[in-house]
Amino acid sequence: VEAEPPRRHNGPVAEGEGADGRWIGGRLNREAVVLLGLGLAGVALFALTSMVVDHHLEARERLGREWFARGESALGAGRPREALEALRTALVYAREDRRAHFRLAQALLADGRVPEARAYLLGLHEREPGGGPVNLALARLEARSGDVAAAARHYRAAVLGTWEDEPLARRVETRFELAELLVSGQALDEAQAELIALAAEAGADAASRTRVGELLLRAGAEERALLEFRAALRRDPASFPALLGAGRAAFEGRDWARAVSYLRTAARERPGDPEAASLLEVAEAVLAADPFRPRLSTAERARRAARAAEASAARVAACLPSADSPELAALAQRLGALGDRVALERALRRDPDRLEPAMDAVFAAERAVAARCGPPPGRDRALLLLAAEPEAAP
Amino acid sequence: VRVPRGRLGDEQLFLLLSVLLGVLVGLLVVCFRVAIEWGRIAMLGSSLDPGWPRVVAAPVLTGLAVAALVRWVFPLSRGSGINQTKAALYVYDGHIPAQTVAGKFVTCSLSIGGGHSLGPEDPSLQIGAGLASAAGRALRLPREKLRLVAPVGAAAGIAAAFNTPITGVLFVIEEVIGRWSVGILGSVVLAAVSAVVVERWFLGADPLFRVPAYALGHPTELVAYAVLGVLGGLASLLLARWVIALRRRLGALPGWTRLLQPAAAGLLVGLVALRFPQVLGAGYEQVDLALHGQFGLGLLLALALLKILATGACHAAGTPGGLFAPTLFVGAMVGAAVGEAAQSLRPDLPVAVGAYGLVGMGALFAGVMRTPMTSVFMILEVSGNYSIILPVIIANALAYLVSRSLHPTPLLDVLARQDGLHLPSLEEERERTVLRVESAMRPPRGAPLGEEATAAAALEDLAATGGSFALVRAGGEWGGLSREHLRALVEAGRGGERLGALVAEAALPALHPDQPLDQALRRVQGWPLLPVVHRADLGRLLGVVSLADIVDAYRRESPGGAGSGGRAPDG
Repeated sequence: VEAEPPRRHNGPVAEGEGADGRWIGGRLNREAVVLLGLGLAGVALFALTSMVVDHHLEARERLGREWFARGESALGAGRPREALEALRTALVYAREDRRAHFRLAQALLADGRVPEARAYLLGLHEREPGGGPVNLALARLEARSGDVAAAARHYRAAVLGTWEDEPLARRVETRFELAELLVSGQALDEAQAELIALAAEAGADAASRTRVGELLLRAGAEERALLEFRAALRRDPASFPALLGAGRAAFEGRDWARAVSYLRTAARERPGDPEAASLLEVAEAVLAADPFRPRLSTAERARRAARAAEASAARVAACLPSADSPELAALAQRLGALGDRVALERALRRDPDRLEPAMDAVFAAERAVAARCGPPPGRDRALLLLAAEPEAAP
Repeated sequence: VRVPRGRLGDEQLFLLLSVLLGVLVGLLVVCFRVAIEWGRIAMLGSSLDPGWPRVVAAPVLTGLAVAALVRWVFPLSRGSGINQTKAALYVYDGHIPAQTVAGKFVTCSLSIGGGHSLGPEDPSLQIGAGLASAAGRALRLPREKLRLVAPVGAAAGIAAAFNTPITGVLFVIEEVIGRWSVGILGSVVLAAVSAVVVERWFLGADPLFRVPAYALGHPTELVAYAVLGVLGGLASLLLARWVIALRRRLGALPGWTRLLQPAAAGLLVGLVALRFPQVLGAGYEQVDLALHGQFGLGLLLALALLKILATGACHAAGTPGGLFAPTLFVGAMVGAAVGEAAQSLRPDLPVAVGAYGLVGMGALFAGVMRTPMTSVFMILEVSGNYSIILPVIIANALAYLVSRSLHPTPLLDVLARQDGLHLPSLEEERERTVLRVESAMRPPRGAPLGEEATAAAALEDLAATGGSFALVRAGGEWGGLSREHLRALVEAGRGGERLGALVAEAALPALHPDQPLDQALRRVQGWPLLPVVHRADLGRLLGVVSLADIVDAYRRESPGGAGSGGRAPDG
């Protein structure tokens, strides 16, 4: 350490000055002058500092904006690494810029640096626990890692959180994502609850209603789904997705007549669509095969039941060699005991009361064959679908 | 001499001066920080990762420039500034040339802005001390006050630099002044608070570091923090030894090489920064990234080692700039590395890497600066996060103990000795054993006499016990009479006089066993011996102590002092 030797102030005392160096008497004393000087220096330095700092903060703000724009541009162009550097630099100049923090986390995610992104997002979440975008990003991160509960928690926080632009649309979109997650995670009750709330929030346009309906359908709420599709069709009667959705909802709800109606319209709207055509074919087959439909003549009921018994017997016979099941063998005997198609049809015409036991045997055979040899394809599913109806259960 | 009405007393003047100094120092430190950043942007550009020409050229050119400035314009601007401030206090009667303030401002703005691996806090401390010293001289403060005014400015400087008033006060008390006294504490606090208010007025009240959420995942995590404390102590040792060794080597080179040493250090920093630009400058941005888990384990360890390398080179080369920021940088990297390791070892625990980084900063600071209290409060203040106190205390204490046990003399003391200055080591002062009365006292030869006893009886008692001084308990006070005095009384026919009346005029000061021995030394003057009594029962005599006993105790405790063995019989 180098330092000058001290300059001691033990020199002669000036006129009018006390022994301790302070001015005395009626004159302004020395300490007052020095203190005043220090005060004036402080004022001058304050003014100078104000100017310097104003300029400095302006420059920082400008640099922050510039680097943020560079980061945005790089992120938009799919260059996450470049975006990372730019956004980190932006944060040097705008430390509290939440947008930059958030975009940095997104850049980290885009660069595959999930732990770092998570750390950033958690930091942002700590400072802004009610932030919509942060919670949404965290929800996606948790969903990606398979933690459905944590993801749902963040999605819900995002739904209830604050959004700077288009908050309603963001909340609706977030709730859609949440519903998707819950449906995919088989949390169907929770999904239905979210979708009921979503039905009230989402727009009244056909696309939104259709989207809600499709999710409700996947969540196992066919009736509510049908209501949403019908609402969509009221807005746009020619909407193919809504027609198909309504057809599927009716199909899932075993309202075969309504399913056929919607699916026929859908098939007319888009003739080549394989899903509509396939569903329509099956639904029509179910309608055509059902001997219990109202307003059928006894002869028609007998004819349908006899054909069903014949088809089931054929399927049991085909499955029996590979399944080697005593139950199937017993069912084959039971169906054989009904007689051939012509005899059975005649017997059922004579005695309509035998229709129900005969169909019981058919349904039992269809269920057993499906369990052992798999469900039949296409329109052959009709009997199995009828067998699965609650009132058809043994 | 008539003192005019309304004139300020010395204490009031000093307090007012402290506030004014705090404001002025705060303003200067704000300008200093802005100047450093302008320098950085001008020389290295606004990017965190400057291109290679700037990375190499800026530290080298600024190294040449500051070497020339230090050589020909500001010769007192070398180094960090803490020892210079201590020297002003203990050697130069509080005198720091005003030129040092300008020199430190200009040279450090250049060096730190140019990428040298040094920090702005220690220079801020010296800027504050220099300004205060100049003001004190202008006010013609008495010598004692002039000595103390520099630390007042130093506290303002460090408080404004860190935006931490408590740290400013504690550091100056713990490292510069070394004692708590009401007179100086008020001034230091006022100056520090004023400086921080000014700093926050201009630059905002945000803490220096933004730290992610912290929660102790599991009590076993404290083991990881303890490991961090030990590693922090070792890292601080590495930094200290590297600085000391390199400084000794460079100091032994011919004088003309001082013109080139900062540039050479700058070249080293530039070459390292080609691959690791994070080592440039104070590095607070990088600390922020480390606290947010942005660096992997390998990079964290590499940065810690490279920062030690670069900082040691810059400091040893005499480049103006401080050690605080690099110390915190290394601590953050070591801490975050331990956090990353803990996370990989226990992925089931929610390990907060940022919290480890923060604790690591405190551990390094405690290990390098040897100011354990300051390091704890600094971490709390710079983060604004008080929930982390437990890990901070554990890690800091361990780092301090490890560093102290492996390198007993603190870095700053060694640096001062390298400069030929033997400044008092405040750490050694704190650790010095305080001798107490119990070390010197011995059992009384007999029971004290009561106030009803006569002079003749007292003389007989002394003859029986072989003592030379009779202790008397009279009227709730202690008194005493020598054998000669008693004999004279008896020979004068006054042997029947009561001792209570004889000792009433001169009460004997009593001591307690836990009192420092220097207090006993001051009180024993003029008395053959003093009573040592119980604190809860002042009439209960525990022992006696004489001047010879005290001297004997000091002699026994002095280094190499074998003691006098037996004691002269007395009392």
